[in-house]
Amino acid sequence: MSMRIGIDVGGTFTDVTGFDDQLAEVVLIRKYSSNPAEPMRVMQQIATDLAGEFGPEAVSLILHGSTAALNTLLEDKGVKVGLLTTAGFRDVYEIGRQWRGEEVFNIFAPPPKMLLERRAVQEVRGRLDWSGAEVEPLNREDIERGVRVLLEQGVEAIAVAFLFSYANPAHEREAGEIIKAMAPGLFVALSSDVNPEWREYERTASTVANCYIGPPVSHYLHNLEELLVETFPNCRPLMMKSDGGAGSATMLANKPIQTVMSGPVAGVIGSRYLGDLKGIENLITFDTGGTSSDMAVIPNRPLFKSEVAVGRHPLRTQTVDIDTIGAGGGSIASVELSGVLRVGPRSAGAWPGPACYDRGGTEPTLTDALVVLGHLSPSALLQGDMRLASDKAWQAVRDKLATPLAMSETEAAWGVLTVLANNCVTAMRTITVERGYDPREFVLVPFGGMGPTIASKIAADLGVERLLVPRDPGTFSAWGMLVTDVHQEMSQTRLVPLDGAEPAEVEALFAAMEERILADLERESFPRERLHTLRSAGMRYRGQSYEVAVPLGPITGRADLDQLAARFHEAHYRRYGHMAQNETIDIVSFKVTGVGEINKPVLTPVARRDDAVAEPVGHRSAYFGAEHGRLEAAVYRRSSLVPGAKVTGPAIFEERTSTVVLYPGQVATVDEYLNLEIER
Amino acid sequence: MNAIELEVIHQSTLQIARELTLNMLRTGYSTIIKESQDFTFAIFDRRGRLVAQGIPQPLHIGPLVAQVNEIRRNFAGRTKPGDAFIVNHPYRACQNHATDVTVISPVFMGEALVAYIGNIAHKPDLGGKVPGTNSGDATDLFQEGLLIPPLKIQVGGEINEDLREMICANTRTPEVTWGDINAQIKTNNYGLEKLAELFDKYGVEAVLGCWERWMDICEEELRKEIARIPEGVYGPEIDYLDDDGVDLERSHRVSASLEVKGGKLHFILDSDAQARGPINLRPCVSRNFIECLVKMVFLPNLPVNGGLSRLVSVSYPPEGSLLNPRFPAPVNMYVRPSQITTSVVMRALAKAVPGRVPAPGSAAGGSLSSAGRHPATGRWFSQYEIFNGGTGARPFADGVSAMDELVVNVMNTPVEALESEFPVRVERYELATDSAGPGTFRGGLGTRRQWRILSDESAINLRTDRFKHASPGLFSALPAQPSRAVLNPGTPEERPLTSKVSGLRLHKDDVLSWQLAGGGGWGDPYKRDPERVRSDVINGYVSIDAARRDYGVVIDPDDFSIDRLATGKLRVEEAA
Repeated sequence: MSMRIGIDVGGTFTDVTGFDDQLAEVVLIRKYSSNPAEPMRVMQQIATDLAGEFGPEAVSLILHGSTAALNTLLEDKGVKVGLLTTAGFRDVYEIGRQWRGEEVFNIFAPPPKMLLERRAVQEVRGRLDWSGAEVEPLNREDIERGVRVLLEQGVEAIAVAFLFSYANPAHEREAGEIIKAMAPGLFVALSSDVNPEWREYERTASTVANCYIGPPVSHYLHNLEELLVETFPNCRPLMMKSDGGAGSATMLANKPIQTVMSGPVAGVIGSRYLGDLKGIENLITFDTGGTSSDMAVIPNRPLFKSEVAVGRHPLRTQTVDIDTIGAGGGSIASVELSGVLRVGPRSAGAWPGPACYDRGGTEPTLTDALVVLGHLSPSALLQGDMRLASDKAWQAVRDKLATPLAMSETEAAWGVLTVLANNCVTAMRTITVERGYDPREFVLVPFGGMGPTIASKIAADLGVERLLVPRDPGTFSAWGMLVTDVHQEMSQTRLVPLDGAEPAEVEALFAAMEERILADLERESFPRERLHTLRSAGMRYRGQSYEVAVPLGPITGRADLDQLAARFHEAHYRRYGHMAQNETIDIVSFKVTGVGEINKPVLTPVARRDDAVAEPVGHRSAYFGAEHGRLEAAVYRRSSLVPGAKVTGPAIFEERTSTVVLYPGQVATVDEYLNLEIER
Repeated sequence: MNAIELEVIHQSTLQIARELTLNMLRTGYSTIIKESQDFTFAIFDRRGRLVAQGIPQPLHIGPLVAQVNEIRRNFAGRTKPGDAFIVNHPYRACQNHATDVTVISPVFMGEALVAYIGNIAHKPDLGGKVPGTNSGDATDLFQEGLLIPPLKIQVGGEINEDLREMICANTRTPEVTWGDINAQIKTNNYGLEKLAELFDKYGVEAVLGCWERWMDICEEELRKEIARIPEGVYGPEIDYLDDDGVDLERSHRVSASLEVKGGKLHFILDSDAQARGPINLRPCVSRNFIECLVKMVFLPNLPVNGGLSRLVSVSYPPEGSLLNPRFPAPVNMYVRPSQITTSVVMRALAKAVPGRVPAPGSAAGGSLSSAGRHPATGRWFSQYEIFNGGTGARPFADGVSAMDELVVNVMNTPVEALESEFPVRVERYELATDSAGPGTFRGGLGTRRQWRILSDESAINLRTDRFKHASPGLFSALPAQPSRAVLNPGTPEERPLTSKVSGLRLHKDDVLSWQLAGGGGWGDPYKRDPERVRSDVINGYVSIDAARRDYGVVIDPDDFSIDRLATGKLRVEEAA
C-alpha cells in the first residue's frame, strides 16, 4: 500500500484527501476543525489518525498547504525586525511608492504598513552603481555599529537590503557574514536572496516581510517536517508554495515568504490537471467557501504574477495569479440607502455564522437565501454533522429583507443570489478582460463548499456555456496538492539590450542559474532524470517600466535571439493589443524554474455506459427566478451516479462536501472520472 | 425600480467603466498611460450627466462633464452612430491644459441617443515651445501646444484621416501620441458594445431609470449630511502661490469660503488677477475637485455622479482672475493652483465639519525633468520624476509621509530604475526631519532627494510650489516647513533655486537637492501626547530642538527620556 496525502489548512476547516496508488482511487476525504491558534495540534491529530488507519509505512508523500505565513502577516504576529540599508536611503521602506493605489477618493487613505520602526533602520556606507560596480567600498564599522544597535533594541531577525544588490550581491553577503559572526542563530535575510530583482522599495519590503514571518514560520515548518518524518518513515513531506509548486522545509526555511499564498493555489493546479485530462484548454476556477471566493483565469497554462499585496504589504514572490472577493456562504445581505440590496463583503464568519446555523446570528446570508430557495437542504451540509434551522433562515430573510422591500421571502432570497452572482461575474470579467480574453471562451470549474451550488447562475450571467464540477468539490484543493511538482525558482535582473546581446553570454547566464537550481534539487534527493528546468526572460520595449515574461529554450546562436524577439512581439500583442517592431528590446530579467517531478496519481477512467440511469432519492421544491418560478427538482445522491448518466435540470446533486444545483434546461453528464459536465 | 435591479444594473455600469479603464491600460502606447495611469473614463446619460467613472485622476472628471455638454450643444442634430469627438481646447470646451486630450463617443440604441462615453488621456507631446509641450514660462495659450476645438475624429465608424494627419504633424512623438488617441477611440468603441449589451438585457428605460435613481440617492444622502451643518459662512481661507514662473518675485493669492444655506453648499472662490505665467486655472476644473472633496468628506462610500452637483454651487472671481482666466491666458501648470485651491477649500470644509476633514497636505507635489546627451550612448535622454510632500494630519491620527490626499496620485521612480537608464546618481532619498506641520496630530513628512549629474550637460525643469508659503495647518497647529531646492549644497557654489525653473543648465558633478514640504498639522502641538513626541524623536521624525520649540516637550538627548518638570513648565507658560 502506498498513500499520498493532501492536507489543506483553512481558517475554519482542515481538509484531508488520501489517494491510494494501488487502488488508483481517492480513499479518504475528511474534514477537521482548524485550530488557528495552535495549528500543530490538528496536524498531530491527523498524523495519528492516518498512522492508525493506514499504518506508518504506507504514507509515501504528504503535501500540505498552510495559512501559517499568511496569518502571521495578517494578524501582526511576526517578530521584531531590523534593517540594514544603504547610507542616504534609510526611508526607502517607509516612503514606498507614494501611491494611494485605487483609494483615489479616500481622504483618509492609510499609509503602507510598516513591519518595523524607523529607528530599526540602520544605514551602512558602501555604494554600487547600476552595473554592480563598486562606487564606494563597504564600511564594516557601520555594519558592526548597526548590528549592535539592533541587537540592543532586541530584534529577532535582520534584513539586509542595499541598492543594486541584485546586480552584485557581494556587499550584502559580506554584511550577512558579519551579522552571523556577531549573532549566531539570528534569522538573517539578504534582499539579493529573497528577491534579486530591481526596484529597491519592493525588494526591501519583501525582505523585511520575509524576516518578520521568518522565525515563526520556519519553526512551524521544521516542527511539522519532524513530526511527519518521525510518524511516517517512508514519507516525503512537502509544503505548497504560492507558485503552485511544492518545497521541503529545508528549501523554504530562509524564504517562508514563498508560502504566503500556499492555501488557494492547489485548486488551480488541480483544475489544470483535470483540464489536461479532459482536453479543455481555457478554464476559470471558482473556489467559494464561507467568506470569500478565489478565482483564476487559466488560458492554457496558469498565469503568474511576481508581486502580491497581503494586508497592504507588497510582496515580491512568484504567485499563481488568483483574485479574491468577499463573496461566500456567510456573506451578509442588507437593505441600504433606503432601497438598495447589497450582499457582502461583510460575512457572518464561522461564528455565529448564517442565521440557519442557529447560533444566534440574525442577519440573512447567502446560505440562508439558498435554504429559502430550496437549493440547499437543511440536512445536507457538513457531512450531515449539522442540521440547518430552516425556520431561522426564513425569518432572517423575512425580517431583514422581504418585509422592508415589500416582496416575498422567495423573491428576496433570489435577489440575494442574483446580487452576489453579479458581484462574482464582474470580478471574473475583470480578470479576463484585463488580460485580453473573453470569458465566454472559458469553461468554469467550481469547487469549495459553495462554488458548485451557485456556479450555474454565475455561468448564465457570464455567458459561459460549460461547467466542470470535480468530485468532492469541497475538498478539491487538498486533492489538487497531489498533482503538483516540486519547484525551485531563481531570478536575476540584468539589463541586456537584445540587439547587442552575445548569444553565448545569454546562454551562460541561464546555464549557471540552472546548474545551481539542479544542485539544490539533487540535495532534495531527486535523481537527475526526474529534474528539468524552464527558462523565461522578462522583456520590454526600451523605456517601458514593466516586463512581459517570454518562455525560451537554449540559445545556440543569433537565430535563437531573433526568435526570442519575435515571441516577445507576439506576447506583447496578446497582452496589450499592439507591438512595436522597430523599437529596441531589452531583456530585463532572467528566470529559471527547476522542476522535480513527482509521480502523479493515475486516475482510472470508468467507461461511460449508454444505459446508465440516474435514480433520484427524492424531490424538493426549488425556485429558479421569475421566469420559472418554483419547480419540483429531482434530488440525487452524487456518489451513486455512474459514468454516462445524464440528468436534465432542474435537479440537485448532494454529496458529502457540497451541493450541485442544476438549473432548468441545463444538462449534466457524469464523465468517466465522475466529474459532472454541465452544459446549457 | 426594485432593490435588486438597482444594485445589479448599478454594479454592471461601474463594471463597464472599470473595463474601459483596463482596456485603455492594456492597449495604450505611452508610459503616461501604462505607468502613470494619467487618464480617466466616464459614462454619461443622454442629458450629459455623469453616471459612472473608472479609476480616475480626480482632476479629469470636471472637464469631461463640461465637454460632453459642449458636444451636445455644438453637435445637436449632427451626431450620428459611429461618430466620436475629439477636443483639447482649454477655453473652447474646458480643458485642464492642451496635453489632456478628450475623446467622446455617443451611444445609440437604434435611432435614439441614450448615453455618452468620454475619456481624457494625457499626451507625451503635442507640439509647443518645449519637448513635452508644457512650458513653465509660457505666457499665452498658443505656446502651449496644438489646440483642437470640438471636432469629429471618427465619422460613421471611420477615422477622420485628415484630422489624424493634422495632429500627427503637430507632435514630436507622432507614433506614441496617435497610438494613445487610437486606443482612446477604440476603447470607447468597446464600451459602446458593452453598454448596448446592458441596454439589451435590462431595457433602455430601466437602465436610464436606475442611473437616475442613483443620482437621486446621492443627492438625498448628501442632503441629509448638509442638514447637520450649522448654517453660516465658513472662511474665507487664504493661501498663496509662490510665483507664476515668469515673474519670480510676486506671489498670487487664492481664497475660498463655504456658505451653508438652504440645504446647499455654496463655495465662493476668489483670487488675484490672472497671472502672466501658466498657473491660471479654468473654473470647470476647480468646480470638479470641489465636488470630489464633497464626495470624499460626506459620501465616502457612494459613487461620484451628477446627483452631487445639484446641491453644490461655486462662484468665481470676475473674468481675468487667476481662478477665472481670460482667453488666451496660459494654463499648462494647472496642477499648482489646483493644489493650493484644494487646500483652502479643505480648510473651509474643516471649519464646517471639524471632525471629518484632514488638515490640507503639503500641496507641494511636482515634477523634476531633465534632458541631455547620455555619455555612454551619445543619445538624447529625457528623464521625468514626480514627487509628493506629506498629507495633512487627520482629526484622529498623524498624516502620511510622501503622499498626496487628492490631486496627485502618481508613483515615484525607483532609484535603481533611474540610474540604470539615465546619467545621474541619487545620493539621498529620505524623509526630511521636522518638515511636517506640528500639531496635536502632525502632518506627514516631505521627502528629500539629491541627484549628482553624471552627464556633461543637462537642462532641468522644476515644476512645483510651496517654497515660500507652506501649509498652515488647522485649529492652532503650526505651519509646516516649506519646500526648498538647492544647487551644490554645502559647497562654495551653493545657491537656492525657485520653485519654478525652466531649462537651467547643469554640468557634470553638479548636485541638486530638492526637499518637499510636509503636510499641515491638526490642533495645538502643545497638546500632543508627550509620549508621541518622544517616539517621533527616537525615530527621527522630529528633532530634539523642534520637540522643545514646537511641542513644548523637553527630551534628554542621552537616553531620550522626557523631562516631565521642564515640559510641564514650558507647556504651562505657553497656556498662560
